Amino acid sequence: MQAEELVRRLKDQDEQALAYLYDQYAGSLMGIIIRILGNREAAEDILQRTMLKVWINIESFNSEKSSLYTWMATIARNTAIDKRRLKSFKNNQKTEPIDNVVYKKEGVKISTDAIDVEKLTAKLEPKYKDVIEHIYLMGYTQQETSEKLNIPLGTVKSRVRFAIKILSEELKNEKGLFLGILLIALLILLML
Amino acid sequence: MKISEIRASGLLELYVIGTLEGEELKMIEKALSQYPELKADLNIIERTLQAYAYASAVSPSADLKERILEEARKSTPSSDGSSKNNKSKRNSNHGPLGGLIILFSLLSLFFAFNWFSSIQKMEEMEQRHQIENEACDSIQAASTLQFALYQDLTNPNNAIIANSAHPKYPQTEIYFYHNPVDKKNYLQLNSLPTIDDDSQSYQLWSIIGDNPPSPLDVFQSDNKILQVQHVEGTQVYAITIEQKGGVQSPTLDDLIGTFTI
Repeated sequence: MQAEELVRRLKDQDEQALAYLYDQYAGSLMGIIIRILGNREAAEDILQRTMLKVWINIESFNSEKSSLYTWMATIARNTAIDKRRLKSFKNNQKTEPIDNVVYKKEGVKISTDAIDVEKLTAKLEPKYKDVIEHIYLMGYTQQETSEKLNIPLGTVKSRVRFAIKILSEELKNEKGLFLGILLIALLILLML
Repeated sequence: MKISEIRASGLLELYVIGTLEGEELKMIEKALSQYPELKADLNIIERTLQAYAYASAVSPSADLKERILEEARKSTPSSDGSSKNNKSKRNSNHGPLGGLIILFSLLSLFFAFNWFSSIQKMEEMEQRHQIENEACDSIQAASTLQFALYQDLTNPNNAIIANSAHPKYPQTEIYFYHNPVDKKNYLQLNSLPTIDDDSQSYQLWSIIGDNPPSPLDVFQSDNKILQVQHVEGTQVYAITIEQKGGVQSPTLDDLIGTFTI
């Protein structure tokens, strides 16, 4: 389903579109939320709220400003950060080791052209991976990241930029490789 | 800022992530409208981050999807498990007249509620206005009194006379502000002998020549500055300790001090 069609059907309150949206994005949103909260039960509650916010507020989505996924990820991150700031959450928080709550999604259909996601992140040096994880996945501000990792604020910005640049180039290589294999397969088929 | 500087700043990436705020956010929003070509950069960043998020995906519980769909059904305005199309069919059963009646009733209720709320709010505002006016008036009156007192005490016609303390009460410190032009007298009571407030008072006397002292003001010690009577021709004012409420003839044993005019 194309993004435009998905948004249109969501605006029509089409339940099947919501189900599709969940299948496509729930895992990656859960990945962000669970790293912010460190608690599976709370993360699922926030994922549910995020999906419902998207469902209810889809009319306010503006495709000129961002992609649907970026919009959803921002909602997920902000909702999770709000939850993390709650005193009641802090008091009742039973933080689980991140490895216990985060595990790889199995059988996920990657819509972004069969990218090898493991390879994608494996190429990131730890210093870039740390910064992008804190900022993008764990909901830290620039300042908090700077303090946590003990690096200047300017370095946070430059490392985020380089991390995304490296990921982007890796993404291109993966796509190139995929298209190459596809082309070779087609040629072999034609020759037969 | 040049486009190359924006690209090198790392701010576009933070803009997509959603952590920009304040001046940096304004700058990027301005740059995006100024350089439409940055839209392509944003697309690349968005796709990259999306791919990265996929790489970090975590499976939710198996039943979460159904729970979300169930909640979505509840949150849909007309929803009872049916789609929007069904909703329009249901509504059509009422016919246009039924719809109009419901709409009219809802509007009537809404306006009636608003009308009552407005009246209630107006009454509350009037009450508050009245209370504030009264408070203002009392503050203004107090302020006027204070100003009048200040003018009286600083009047250049005043003679400020320190008391001659009686040896029995040497710690007494009182100043007498005497204005013969405006015929006003004030007492500034800095230090007075202790009295029994339940049974005793201080009393001011006017002494003219050999006449017996004339009883004037009776007061307790709680007034630090006190306006007292002016008696034309008084040569000496005196203060004594008397029984509560004052007497007609002074008890000279309890003379605190005198002020010679």
